[in-house]
Amino acid sequence: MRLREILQSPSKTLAISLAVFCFGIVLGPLVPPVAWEMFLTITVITMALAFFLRNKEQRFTSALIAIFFFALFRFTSAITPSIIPSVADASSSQTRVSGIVSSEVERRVSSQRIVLDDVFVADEPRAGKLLVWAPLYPEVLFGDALVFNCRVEKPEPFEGFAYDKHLASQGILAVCPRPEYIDVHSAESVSFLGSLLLLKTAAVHRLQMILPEPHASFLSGLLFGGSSSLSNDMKDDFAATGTSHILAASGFNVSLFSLTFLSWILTTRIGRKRGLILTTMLIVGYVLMAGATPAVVRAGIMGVVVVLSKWISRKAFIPNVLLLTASVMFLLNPFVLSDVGFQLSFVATAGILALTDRVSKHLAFIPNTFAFRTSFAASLSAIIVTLPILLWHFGSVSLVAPFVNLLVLPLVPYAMWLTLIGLGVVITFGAIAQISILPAWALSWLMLWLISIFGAIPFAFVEPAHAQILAVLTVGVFVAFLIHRRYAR
Amino acid sequence: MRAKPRHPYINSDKISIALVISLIFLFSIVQWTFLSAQSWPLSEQPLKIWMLDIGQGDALFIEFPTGEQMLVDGGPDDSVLAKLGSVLPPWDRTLDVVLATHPDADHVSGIISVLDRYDVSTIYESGVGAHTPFGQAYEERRDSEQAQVVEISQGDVITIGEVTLTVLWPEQTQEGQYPAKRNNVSIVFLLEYGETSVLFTADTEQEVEDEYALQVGDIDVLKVSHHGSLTSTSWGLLKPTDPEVALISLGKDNSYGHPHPVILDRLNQVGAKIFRTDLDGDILLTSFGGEPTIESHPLPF
Repeated sequence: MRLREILQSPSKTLAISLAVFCFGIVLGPLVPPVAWEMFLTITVITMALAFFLRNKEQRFTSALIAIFFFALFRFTSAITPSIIPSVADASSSQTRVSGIVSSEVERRVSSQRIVLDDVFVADEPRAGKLLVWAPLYPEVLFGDALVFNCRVEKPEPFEGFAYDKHLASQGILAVCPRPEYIDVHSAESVSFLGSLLLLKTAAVHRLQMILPEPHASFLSGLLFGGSSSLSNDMKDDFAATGTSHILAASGFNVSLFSLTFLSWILTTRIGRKRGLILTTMLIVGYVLMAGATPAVVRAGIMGVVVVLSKWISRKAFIPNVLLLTASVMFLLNPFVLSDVGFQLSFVATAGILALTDRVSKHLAFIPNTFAFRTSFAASLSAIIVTLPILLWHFGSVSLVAPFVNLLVLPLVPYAMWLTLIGLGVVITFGAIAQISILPAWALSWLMLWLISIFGAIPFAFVEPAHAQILAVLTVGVFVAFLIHRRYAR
Repeated sequence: MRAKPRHPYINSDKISIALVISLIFLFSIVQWTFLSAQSWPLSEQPLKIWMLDIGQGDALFIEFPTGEQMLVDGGPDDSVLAKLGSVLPPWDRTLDVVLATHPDADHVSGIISVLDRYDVSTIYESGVGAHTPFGQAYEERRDSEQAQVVEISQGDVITIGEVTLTVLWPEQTQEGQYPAKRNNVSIVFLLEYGETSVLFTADTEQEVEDEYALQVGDIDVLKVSHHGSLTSTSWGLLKPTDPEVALISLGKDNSYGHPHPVILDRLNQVGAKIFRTDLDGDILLTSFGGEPTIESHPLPF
C-alpha cells in the first residue's frame, strides 16, 4: 500500500503532513466563516483518535485529518469577528482618529506611509489597522502616538489589483488618505523592534550621507527593502520594465544574494562549512539590521532556505524545506498567502533552488568569475517562475521585462555586496573613505539608467485582454513541460 | 622531477578578481567625468542655471563660473535630491549657498531634506516664518545646520566672482514676522553676469511686482512668478522688463490650472520664448557673459 511506503520514510511523512497543513490554509478562504471552535473540536477529537488507534496507517490518516482541521482552525480563528466594530466601519465624514504607529514609517518622495494600531475613531476603540498617508512633515517615527482629523475610507481594488486583499493580508482594514492637523506624541519607551529599527535607520542615514539620490534610496532599498523614496517617474519606469520586484525587501533579492555569495565563497579556500556559517551569519545580521519587519524576516528565511539546501546537498529534501518554510509562515500569518510580496518571494526562491543548476548548464559560455554565471542563471530561473504571478496580479506584461531583468537582475547581488562593503569601510574609517562607495554608485547608476532608458520605450508595457487566463495558461505550459521532461526520460 | 609549484599568491583567480575590481573603479570614474559634461579646470567655466523639474513648486540650481554652487528653493518634496545627485559629482556633499525665498511648502520642503543631506555654508532668507509643519521643520533644520544664516532685503548685493545678485524685494527683512500669506514677502533678485540678466521673482504677486519692476529695466530671462498663476506676471512687470525668455516651473496636470492661459498669452505678446518644466523637463541656461543659451536638458534621474 502506498501509505505504508510513505510511513517508512520519515522525510515523506513530514512532507505529506506539511502539505496537508498548507492545503488546509489554502482552502481557508473558501470555508464559510463558521465558528472556529468547531474546527478546534474536530482537531482535538481526531488527534485523540490518532493516539488510541492501533493500526499505524489509520493512526496516520487520523493525524492528517487533525492537521487539516487545525489549518482550518488557524485560518478562521485569525479572521476578525464582525461583531467587534472595525476601523472599516467608521463613518465617511471627517472624524478625530488616534492610534499608535505599529510598524516602520516609509518615507516616500512626497508623503509618509504610516500604519496605525490600537486605533480609536471618535474616541471609540476599533479593531484592525489603519493605513495613513501623511505629508512629509511633521515627521513620524515608529512607536509614536498620533492624533489627527481624517475621513476613514475602505480600500478598493484598482486596475484589477486586489488592493483591499493585499492590505488585509497585513491586517490593514481601512485607509486615511488625507489626514489633517496631525499631532505627534513621541514614544516614551523604545521597544526591541524599535531599537532594531533605530539601527537600520542609522545605517540608511549613513548611506544617505555618502551617496546622492536616487542611488541612496535604490541601494538602501536593495539591502533593507522599501526603495519607497524613489520618484514616481522612476517607479513608473520600474513598473514598465517589470523590475519593481527588486525594490521590495523580498526573498527574491536575498535568495539571489545568498546563492551568488555562497557559490562564490565555496570556490574560495575558506571551506564549505565555514562558508555556509558565514552566509547564515550574514543573513541573520541582515535581518536584524533591516529592522526585522515581517517582510524582512520572510526574506531572511528564504535566504536561509538557500543555505540549507546547499548544506543538506540532497535535492530530494528541497521540497521539504520549502514546505516547512511555507507552513511556518502560514502558522504565523494565515493570510500571508494573499500577499503578493510573499508569493513573489516564495515562488522566486523555489524557482532559484529548482532550476538554477539546470539553467546554468546551458549558459556555459558565460564566465563564472565572482559566480556571475550562477547569478545570471538564478535570475533567469526566478524571472520564468514569477511570470504567472505578475500576470495574475498586475494584468500587464512588460515586453522588455525579460531583457531588462536579464541585464539588471544579475547585478543585484553585486550592488548589494558593494554597498555593504562601502558602508562598512565608511563606518570604520569615516568620511575620508567615501571613495569606497563609488563602485556601488557606478553600478546603481548603470542599473537605474538601463531601467529609465527601457522604461521610456513607448511600447514597453502591454495589457493583454485576459491576463488572468493567460497566467493560468502559463502555469499549464510550465506543468506540461515539467511532466514531459519527467516522463520523456 | 617535481612540477614547479604555482606561486601561492598569484593565481589566475586573483588576477581576474583584481581586474574586475579595478575595472569597476575605472568605470565609475570615467562614467562621472563623461556624464558631468564638466569642462576641464583649465578652460573657461560658464554660468549655469538649472530650472529643475521637481513638480509643482520651484527649485533652481546655479553653478557660478568660479565654481560656487547655489540652490534657490527646494520644491515641494524630496525630488530635488535626485536632481542634485545628477548635477553634482557623487562625492560632492556640500553646497555653498541655499536661498529660501519664502517658507511655503512648495518652495521650502526640498530645502529641509537638502539641509539634512548636504553641508551648507550660507543660508539666505528674508527672516519670515510660517506656523506650518513645513515652516517649523525648516526652522529646526536651519538652526541645527552649522551654516551662516543671513537675512537679506531690498538693496543688498551678493557678489560671487563676476556675478552679482541684487535683492529687489522684500523692502525690509522680516525677522519674527509670521504673516498668513507669504507670497508677497518672498525674495526677488536680479542676477547679472556680463550681458546676461535673469530675474528671479519667487511667488510675488501683481501689487508687489509693480513696485520692484521699475528698478529692473530690460532683462534676458524671467523666472515667471508663482508658477504662471493669474495673480502675477502683470503688464506692470512685463512692459519695463521685456524678457526674451520666460521660464515656468510647475507640475504636470497640476490641480491649480497653472499656467493660466492669460499669462501665456501675455508672455507671447511680449515675444518671450516660453520654457516649462511640465513640458520640457529640466531646463538649462548657460552663459559665458554674453547672450545666454537656454535648452531643455533632461537630467538622467
